[in-house]
Amino acid sequence: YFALYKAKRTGSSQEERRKRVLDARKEARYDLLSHLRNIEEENVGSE
Amino acid sequence: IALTEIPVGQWPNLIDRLVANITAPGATDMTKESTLEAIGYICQDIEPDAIASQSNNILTAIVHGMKRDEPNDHVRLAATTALLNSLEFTKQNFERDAERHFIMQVVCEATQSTNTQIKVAALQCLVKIMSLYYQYMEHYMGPALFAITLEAMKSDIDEVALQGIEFWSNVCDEEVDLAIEASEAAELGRPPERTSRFYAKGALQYLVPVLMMTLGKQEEADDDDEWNPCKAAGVCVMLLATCTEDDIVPHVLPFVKENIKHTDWRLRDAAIMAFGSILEGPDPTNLKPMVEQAMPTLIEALSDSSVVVRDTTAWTLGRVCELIPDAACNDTYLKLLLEALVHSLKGEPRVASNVCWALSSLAEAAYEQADTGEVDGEPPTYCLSAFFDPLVDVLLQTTDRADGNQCNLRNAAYEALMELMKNSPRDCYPTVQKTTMIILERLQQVLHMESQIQSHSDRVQVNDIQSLLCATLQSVLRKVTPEDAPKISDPIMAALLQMFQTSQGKSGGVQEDALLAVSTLVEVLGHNFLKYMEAFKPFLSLGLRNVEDYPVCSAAVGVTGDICRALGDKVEPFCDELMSMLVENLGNNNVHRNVKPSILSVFGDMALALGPKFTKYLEVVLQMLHQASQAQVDRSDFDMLDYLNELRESCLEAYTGIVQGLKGDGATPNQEVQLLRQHVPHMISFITSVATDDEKSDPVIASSAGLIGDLCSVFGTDMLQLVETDPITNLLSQGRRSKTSKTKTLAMWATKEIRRLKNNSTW
Repeated sequence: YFALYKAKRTGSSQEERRKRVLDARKEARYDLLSHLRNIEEENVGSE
Repeated sequence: IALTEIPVGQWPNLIDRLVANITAPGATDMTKESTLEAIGYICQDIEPDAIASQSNNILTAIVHGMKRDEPNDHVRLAATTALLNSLEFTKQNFERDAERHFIMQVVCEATQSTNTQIKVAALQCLVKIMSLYYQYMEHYMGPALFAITLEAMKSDIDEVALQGIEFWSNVCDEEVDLAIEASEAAELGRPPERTSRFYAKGALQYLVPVLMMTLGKQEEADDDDEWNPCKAAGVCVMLLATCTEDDIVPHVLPFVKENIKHTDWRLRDAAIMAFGSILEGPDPTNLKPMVEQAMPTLIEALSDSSVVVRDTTAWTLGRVCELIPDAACNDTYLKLLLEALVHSLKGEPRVASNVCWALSSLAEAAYEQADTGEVDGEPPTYCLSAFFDPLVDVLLQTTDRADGNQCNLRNAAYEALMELMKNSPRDCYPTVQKTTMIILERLQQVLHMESQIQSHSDRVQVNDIQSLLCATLQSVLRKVTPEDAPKISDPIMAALLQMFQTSQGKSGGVQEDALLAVSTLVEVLGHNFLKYMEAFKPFLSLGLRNVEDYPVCSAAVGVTGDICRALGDKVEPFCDELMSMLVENLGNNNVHRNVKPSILSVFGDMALALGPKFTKYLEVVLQMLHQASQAQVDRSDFDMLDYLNELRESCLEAYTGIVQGLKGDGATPNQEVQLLRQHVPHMISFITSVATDDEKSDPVIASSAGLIGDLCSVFGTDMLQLVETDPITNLLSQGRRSKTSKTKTLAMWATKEIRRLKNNSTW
């Protein structure tokens, strides 16, 4: 419980930065593939 | 010796011998105490399964030593400690009413001992019993546990009070878990396996007054590292708020109102602490008017004469900005609050550090609240715009404070700066540009300091600063426009290269952050990164070969993939060398397992970049994917199951990249894609095994659907007999029902591709 005392949530720790870059990478791959596959979320989603 | 021998079936009579030592009529106190200590040590460290069958014997010995009529306190204490260590494997005894009653009776009696050590050990037993055997506690809560623990909370002896408070903190933890289980069960339309008895809710009226009293018992000299009842009470109120939600508010609020302006700083601090602690749990809509009402008092308390009160107030305002941001981001209070926060930023490091956190939360909340004007776009402005530049200025000053190493202040100030950059609207872009240049300047300065490093502590400090500067660089670069990026990239890349050059003595953290900064630069520069490749290549290789420090290796693997995506086929001259290092790492047992899925994904990136030119690597890569796609793990280990999903997702990404890359983006698929035909059955069998796995993750479903769609679009109607199977149909239907839009989109697209083939085959 010691760690909870006046605990602050941080969004920019190294762990977070690592995660942010990984997420951006996944997003970039997805966007590239969606372009190659010729899919747009709205088009497929609405069918 | 017991820890080594018992798990492999040796020394079978040890426990019997130890029990006899205690229960034998003529046993001396010294023998009993030593024996109980030995039992305690064994129970503490042994695998519970190895000794569970002996639990009856062990309990007999322990309970014998713990009984009220045991005259020797040393024996009783050793027995109580041994019980604490044995609770995890006495599940069967707790399941039997009579045995449980007896154990509970002995423990409760021990909590009444006049010997503090015995009392504390017995209370520790109750804390642990509550966590392990919550579902059996109803019988004891009303008649015994409630009174025993409430009494303990009121004790003047810190160790006793701490256990009393911890008991209730544990009850809250348990009941929060039970609430989650109940809502999950409700979602699945079945009754939960265990149910909450809502002890915390029922006890609120008795617990809160004692906790409020304890909150006011601050130490004069507040030591960061010391755990005391006052701090434990603060945490317990927070947990009670999470657990009992709106119910706690009326119990705490009168104390807050009565004491928030008290003449005694201890009571002012206790009131603000109590207020800050109940901000998470209750419905924010209900809290908002109350918080708005408190804002002027809180802002004023930032200038309190007591540093403890100023610290607690800054923390509470940080919680307000994070949890009830609307109470701060409004026309009435925002300006006043910012002025007070900026003033406090110049105060003691502990206060300033909390202020940095409040500013981080405020930036995030303001950005979220801003009107984007267009879907997914960056908002043109937000409520912090008018204050943005001076805020950045004062944070930059804070990062330079001589006492920045205290209370994590420098880190907190840089983190706030990063949050402000990340959450900045369009009209704050000039400040982002200015900050980019300041960070670059600082990076150059700190690189000049390299030669002046004399001691280990200098090294640590410079490392920290370099890491933070690289991290800040990432957040500013992410905001830089594609037009501006090439204008500033030369000095930035030069500084990063210099950092890699002088990497001797640097921690992995610095190198990782520098590589992550390169990743961001690659992302914003796109194909313009090509001009740096020759200079960067040696450092990329060093990173890929840094097997000892796997986050560095992993970051280097990631940059490799980013470069492939950014440069496209212009990456070709570098691929032989990169591929050879990636393949070597994949087969190297000394490379941490977490790096390996990323390597597989990079194969996909490279295949997409090279197109048909990837064929020269095809055989070796497909062989590696074949192997990786057959991996199995220990399914009782959740971490390994997560790893398996990650590995599978990467295999699927690699196959997808290869299929798409070899096919090309022309209207007619390249001939080279036919080289994959003989591997299609394996890909489908891999997807089938993924499909039938109950533990598959949502991203694995998405990637599987993507690959199914790709294979159908490339290999046409031949695919129908392979994909029209129950497992694949079920997988796609699960994907279409997913809550994640990407998974849903891919599953629908794959379904559509299959339907298109079926229509074609009918004609």
